[in-house]
Order: sequence, then structure tokens, then C-alpha cells
Amino acid sequence: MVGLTAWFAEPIWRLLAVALAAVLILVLNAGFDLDKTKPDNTQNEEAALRTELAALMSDLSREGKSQFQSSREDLERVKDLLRLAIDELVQRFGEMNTRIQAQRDLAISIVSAMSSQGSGNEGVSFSEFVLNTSKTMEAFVDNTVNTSKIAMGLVETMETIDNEVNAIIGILGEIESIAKQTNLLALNAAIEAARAGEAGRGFAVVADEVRALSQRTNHFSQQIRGHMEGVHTSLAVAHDSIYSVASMDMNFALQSKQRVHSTMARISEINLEMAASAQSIDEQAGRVSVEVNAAVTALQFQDMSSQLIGHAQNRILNVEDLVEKLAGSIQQSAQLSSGLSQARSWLHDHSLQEAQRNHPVKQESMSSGDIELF
Amino acid sequence: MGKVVLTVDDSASIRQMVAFTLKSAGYEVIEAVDGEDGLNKAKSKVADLVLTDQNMPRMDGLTLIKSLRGLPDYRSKPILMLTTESSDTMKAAGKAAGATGWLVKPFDPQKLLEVVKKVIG
Repeated sequence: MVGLTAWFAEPIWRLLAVALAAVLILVLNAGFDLDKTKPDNTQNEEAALRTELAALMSDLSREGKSQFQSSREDLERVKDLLRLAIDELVQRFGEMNTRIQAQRDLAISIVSAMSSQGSGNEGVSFSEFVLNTSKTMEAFVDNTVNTSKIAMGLVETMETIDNEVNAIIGILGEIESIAKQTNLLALNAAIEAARAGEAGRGFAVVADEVRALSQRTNHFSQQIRGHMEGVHTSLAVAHDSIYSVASMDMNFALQSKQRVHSTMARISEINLEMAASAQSIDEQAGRVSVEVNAAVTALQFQDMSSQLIGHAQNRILNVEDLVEKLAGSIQQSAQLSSGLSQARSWLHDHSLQEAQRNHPVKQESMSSGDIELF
Repeated sequence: MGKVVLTVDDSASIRQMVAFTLKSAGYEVIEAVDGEDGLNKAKSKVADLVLTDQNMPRMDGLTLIKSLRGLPDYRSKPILMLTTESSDTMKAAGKAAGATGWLVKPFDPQKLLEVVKKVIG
């Protein structure tokens, strides 16, 4: 900014230096001329000098005016460009801040959803979900193992039943042999009855009935045997099925239990990792927010620069005014010497006023300013 | 939260910075472009805090503070000066006019928020 001002100031000082040099030369010449004791010529020469000087000052004033004018216009353009650019930047940074805030809120909500101390009142937190799932799976596996144990017991019970069935079948054989012997006895009785002739006729009827009974007994026994063998076959099938279920489920369930356990442990780990990542996202966003704040502080250079440029513009206006007033003062005074001294005293007053002017921008760096509460 | 802050500054970028800093913390922000505009807006809606620049066209910050202190609504409301002016004479003039505090630009958004929280909660 200092360089900018200096660049704009340069032609002004050049002009002023030229003007001062010209005034100095003219004054020295005039003084030299006045010392000479030739009053007739002095009057004419002074008049000529005054005309010359007045013309020079008026040229200077005119040329200076146009230079000052364009300097002020250039500065105005710098101000406008700064204003446009910074307004845009501030808007963008503001937008950035809003987005970062949203990002932080999101990260925080992820962290709280994952941590065990989740909101609780609204739904279930992720860790609670993992715990519940783990418990449910464990209960399920325990149930399966239990079922398998019961099935094993059932297999044993079936074997016992099958033994009983076999025992019954064995007893049936005994019944059949009794029936066979009874049949044989009945046959012998019938023979003995025939041999006895008329006296054995009644006995022959009894022997027939005994034979029929033995045959019915044999028939029933075989019917029972048939049913018992059916029971035996069905029991063998059921036994095999339950046995295969009992032995297979046990291994599967134990493996599942282990798998569920390790999966849940991994999920829990991932959960922690994700919570840590979300936390880190929040921290990073926080840091970006600090950077944006620093940028916002730095962007306020525009406010100070604009005030400084405004000041430079006022100073240029002052110099423009000064040159014009000096030119006017020399032009209007009848005497060259009185005109010059009038101009000098005016210049002196003016510089005093300038020194007393308040300067609103004293900052020399962009670090944030003091804060004072009364 | 939801408290109203009136920011008065002739620089649009400063107004924007103040606005987005305070809005992000949940404050409602009203903007005014100079002292006169600020005085009118302060009258139409009573702010909980006024944050004003010093050097502005039409009406400067000190005049605004004096005018506000003359209104019953603003007799005890906090008014902070946010300006590039940092001289002790200006600060003394601000204090005499009834300013609650003096913040020298450039401001750090975080520090501005801290001061605002301290003054109006």
C-alpha cells in the first residue's frame, strides 16, 4: 500500500519539486535584481518576472490538476476493485464456515450415535445394537446346543424302546411255540378220541376247539409280531434321523458360537475405529474453522486499506488545492514579493492544519486488535 | 440464543464478516450502512447489542452512541465500538459518549464472539 501511494505520489512530488525550483530561481533572480540600484529597470523586470511566474504557476496548476484528478480516479478504482474482490471472498468464507459447521455437527452426531453413552431416548445406539445382536445370537446358539443334547437323550430313549420291542418280539416267539405245542396236543387228543370210539366223541369236540384256539393264538401272535416289526423299523428310521441331527448340529452350533463371538468383537472394533475417525473429522473441521477465522481477520485489510486510500485521495486533493491557491495568490497580488510571502504564510498555516489532522488507521500488521471493556 | 445484534459499518465486507460470525453462534443480526441508518433500524427493532464503526458517512459512531443513549430503550443496552481507531483520546471520547467497550480492527471472529457472549450471553 505504501508502494502504491508512493507510485501515485511520485508525479506529484516531481511537479512540486519543479515548481519549487522555479520559484526559487525566480526569487533569487528577483532579489539579485532588486539589489541593483536601477529603480526604472527594476519595476519593469519585476513585472515581467511576475507575469512569467504567474504563467508558470497557472500551467503547473492546470497540469497538476489533471494528474491529481487521474491519480484520485485510479485510487477510487483500486478501492472499488478491493471492495468487489473482498466482498466476494468474505461471502465464500462465510459459506465455507457454514459448511464446516454442518460437517462438525454431522461428525458429532456420528460419534454420539456410536458411543455407548448414546442418546438412548431415541432408538438404540450402535454399540447397544451390537450388544443386543451378540446376546441374541448367543441365546440362539445355546438353544441349539441344548436341543442337540435333548436329541442325544432322545436317541438313548429310542434305543431303550427298541430293546423293549425286541424283547416283546422274543416273547411272541415263545407264545407261538406254546400255540404250536397246544396244536400238537389237540391233534393227539383228537387221535385218542377217535380210538375211544363212541365214548370219545365229546372229547373229540373239545380237542377241535383247543386246536382252533391254538391256531387263533398263533394268528394273533403273528399279527402282533407284524406290528412290532413295523414299530421296530420306524424306530430305527427315527433313531437314525435324530442321531444325525444331534451329532451334526453340535459341531455347527459350536463353530457358529465362535464365529458370532469373533464377528461381534470385530464389529465392536470397527465401531470404535469409526467413532475415532468421526472424532478426527470433527477436529480437522475445527482446525479449518480456526484457519477461516484467521483468513477473515486478514481480509479486514480491505477496510483499513480503503480508509488509507481515502486518506491518500484527500491528501492529493489538498495538494491540488494548495497548488491552485498558490497560483491564485501570485496571480492576484500586484507585487511579486508580497504575493510570494502571502503564499508562504498560507502554505505555513495549511501545513499546520495538516499536521493536526487525525489519522484513523495506525495499524501496521494484520494481527487482531485490542479489546477493551469500559 | 436468538438475541438481536445490530451491526453498523459502512464497509459491506465488515458487516458480512460480523454477520456470519454472529449468525453461526445463533444470534440474529441486523445490518446498517451508517450511523443514521443504524439509528433508524435501532428504533424500529430494539437490539440487545449494538456494534458500531466510528468513521462513517452521514453519522459517525460517537454521534450514534450519544443518540442511542438518549433513547429509553438503549439507556442501559451494551454498545460496542468496532473501529480502526486505536488512540486513547478516541477511546476516552467513546467512553464519555457511553460506549460499553472498544474493539480495534481487525477483529478475530472467535474473540468477537467471546466478547459478545460476555456482554449479552
